[in-house]
Amino acid sequence: MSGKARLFISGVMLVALSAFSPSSSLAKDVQGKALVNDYCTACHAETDDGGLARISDVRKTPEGWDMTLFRMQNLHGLEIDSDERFAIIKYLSAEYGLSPSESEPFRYVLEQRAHFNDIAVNDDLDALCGRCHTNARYGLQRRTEKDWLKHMHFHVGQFPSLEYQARSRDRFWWQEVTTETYKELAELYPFKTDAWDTWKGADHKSPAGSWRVTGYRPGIGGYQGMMTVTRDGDFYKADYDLYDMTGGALSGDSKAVIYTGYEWRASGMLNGAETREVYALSEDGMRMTGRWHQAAHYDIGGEFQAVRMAGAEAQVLAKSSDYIRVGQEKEITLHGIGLTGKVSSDKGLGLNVTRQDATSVTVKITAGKNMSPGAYVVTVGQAVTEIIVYDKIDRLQVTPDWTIARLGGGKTPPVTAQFEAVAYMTGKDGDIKIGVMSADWQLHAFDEEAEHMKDVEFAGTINAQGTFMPGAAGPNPSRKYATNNAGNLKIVAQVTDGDTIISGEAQLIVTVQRWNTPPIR
Amino acid sequence: MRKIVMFLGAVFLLSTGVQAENTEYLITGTKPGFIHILDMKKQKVVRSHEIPNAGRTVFSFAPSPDGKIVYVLTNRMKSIVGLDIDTGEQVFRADFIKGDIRRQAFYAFDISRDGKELYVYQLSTRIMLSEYQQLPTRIAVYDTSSGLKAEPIRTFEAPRRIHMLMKSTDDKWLYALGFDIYKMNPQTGEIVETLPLRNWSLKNRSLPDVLDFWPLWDQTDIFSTPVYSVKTDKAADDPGAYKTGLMTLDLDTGKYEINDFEDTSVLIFSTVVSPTGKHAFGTYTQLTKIDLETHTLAGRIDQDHTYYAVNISADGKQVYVGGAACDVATYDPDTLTKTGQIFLPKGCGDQSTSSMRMIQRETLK
Repeated sequence: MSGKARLFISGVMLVALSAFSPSSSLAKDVQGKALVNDYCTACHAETDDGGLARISDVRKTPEGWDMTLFRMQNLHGLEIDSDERFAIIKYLSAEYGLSPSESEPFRYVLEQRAHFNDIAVNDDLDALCGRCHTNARYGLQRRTEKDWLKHMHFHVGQFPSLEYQARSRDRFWWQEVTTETYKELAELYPFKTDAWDTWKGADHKSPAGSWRVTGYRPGIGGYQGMMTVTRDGDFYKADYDLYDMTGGALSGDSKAVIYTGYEWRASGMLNGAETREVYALSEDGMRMTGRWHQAAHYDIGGEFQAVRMAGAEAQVLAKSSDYIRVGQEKEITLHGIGLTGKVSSDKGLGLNVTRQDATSVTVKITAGKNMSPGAYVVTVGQAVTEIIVYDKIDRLQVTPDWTIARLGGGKTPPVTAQFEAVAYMTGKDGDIKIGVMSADWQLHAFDEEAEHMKDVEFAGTINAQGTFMPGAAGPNPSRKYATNNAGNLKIVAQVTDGDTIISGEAQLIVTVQRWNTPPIR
Repeated sequence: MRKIVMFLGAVFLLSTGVQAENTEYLITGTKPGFIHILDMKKQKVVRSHEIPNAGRTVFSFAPSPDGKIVYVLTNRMKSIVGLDIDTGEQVFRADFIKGDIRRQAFYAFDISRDGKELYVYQLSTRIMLSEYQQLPTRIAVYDTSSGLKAEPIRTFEAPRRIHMLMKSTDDKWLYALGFDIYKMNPQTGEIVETLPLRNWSLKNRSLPDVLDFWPLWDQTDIFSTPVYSVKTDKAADDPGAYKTGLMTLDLDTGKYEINDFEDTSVLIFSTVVSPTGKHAFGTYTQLTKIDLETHTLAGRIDQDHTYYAVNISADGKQVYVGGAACDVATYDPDTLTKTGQIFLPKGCGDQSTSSMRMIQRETLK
């Protein structure tokens, strides 16, 4: 099983590396088409309208096609090498892909986020599909009505336990999915859409060029800098010149493929750690957004936003800090594009520019003792941002307020959970977000059962940055019932604000390893 | 089954004039593809047999009435293999896949009381060139004397989602547990009676939740299983809204009943009725004792770890728990204290959801 899991990971992501060197011409879509005709037609017959059975009735993300090929290789005897596999995925993603607007609601799963909010359209679909998959899994597929029905036949043929599982055995599963559900899915996620027709025929922009990058690493903080993308055959090379908010360098590069005209997938290195990048290029080619993560730890990574330098309006994209306390003086750096204009602010905020160039402005900000708390506008020429002035913290919110972490061991690394303490003050029209504060972190038993089972002792530890590191997987002979180190924990953050200690709480379920880790969960 | 063993014992006695020494054995299975025979009196494993082409997991199994052969569902639910308990020799094999049709049995199978037929519930899928086509679920009947290339001697369609098949002791009926319990004619598959489960008539009650694939009725011929349901006239945060009951089906008399015995407080995976008829025992992380006369919780203790299957000695004086790890533990049914623990041989990769069955037969040498 673990061997298969690794193959999965090697799919779309590593393709960029393996196919990069020898012969980049392999990646051409025309070659992908020839390979599909060579390999797939052994089973997938040509249809009356010139397509191929099943293949021409389905649209998927590159990861979706990667998983299909994985299944064909492992269960149906397809034998192809990694270059051929890559060319086929590239062709199928171009011919039968998802438009930017179709993939947009479900990018969290493509981005391999450890924490996300996965909401089904309705409870039935959540029980029928979402009990095993993320709801994004089927939301990232488009099929003809006929093919959604075939998908049901496949499911119960491949997974005979399906009808017996909890949230399935209380309903006439087979009857329901073959009379109702497939039609509902065909309506929600139809094969033919205007969005796809338009995107397929659109002028897809090249990512080559110079980009202003800002981003955020949960638990660590913001980063900013530049990315230069150059074309190399069918691939792209990105060179990063990035810095965290204390000025520490984050340097590296990556090799990328653009699938479906906008899906940036890359393998790279950042400060010596191997990374994977999952970004979407905007339809106008002016922005790139997404998430990167460590190759070995999908839970550890950063938010990423890039704005193309050429033709960009003046704008502030990130700040070294979002807030200042009444009576304090603080140096804050604004990062963005076209920041050459005059620096000014709402009345009352003291500004003293200490350094300024087109991409960064450092300002010594003074919040006088008598200032009213609130959001103060700061402008740099045409670029506008806000600094929050607060006098006291009224509420501390731990985010996420509920999440899971997974125990680690053997070939399956732990999945950490990252918490942050976000401060709020009470304003006239409701709470005003101040920003992320450094906090003292504590673990407590969430309830009596967790207390009884001593979950705090076994489930893991939390560090000063709010990162929860789960314990080791497997039965633990020193625990009651020799059970594993799973736990139900209350995460408590405490921030000292003047003479007051403000607390916030979240819940963390520490659960077992996940053995099956396909690109789309 | 006791009756059959006694009868066979009597025949043996008449023919040889020497009293045969009988021993009670527990049979369990472990990954990767092993069957183990345990002498519960001596508290040790006396035979371990590797199942040919077993895939990895051992699912359900049924011993022959004479205790000489055990039929095992294995090979990723695609084969039933009959092994000689004494020698480990493969004496029967039914591989379900034929041509383009893949068949899998989801635990549910049983052997007739005369030992001549196996009843196997099968999910069937036609594997076409570029698609799968689901075929009707069915019950296939195999002749146990068919050898290593057994084919069904008859088949009939059966409702979906069956997880347990049980032959009545007189061999006249086949019970299939699924949404409800279907009492079938084993010759034709005709459903002659539906014992209500999903269609129960309890007022203000949710649908019952039942999932059981442990055939554990060896000592009593009474199948029992936990039944979970919710009282819909109570608030969701009222612990009294959640009920655990015990369903029993007497394979001898056909008597069928469901009785709540507690507000749900722990999970129970499987249960067994004691030969005393006074109690039933259930296992998961706790060993649970249920009073069958008052329908109340009679006792509960924490086990060393989670077990999935529970069985009992013929005299009702030892309760055995197994499954979910590599040991079988013994408990005193009166005090619920642990009296023994047998570790399965080195290389055991978990009993998983293997059956755990009891046989009495001539002592293995």
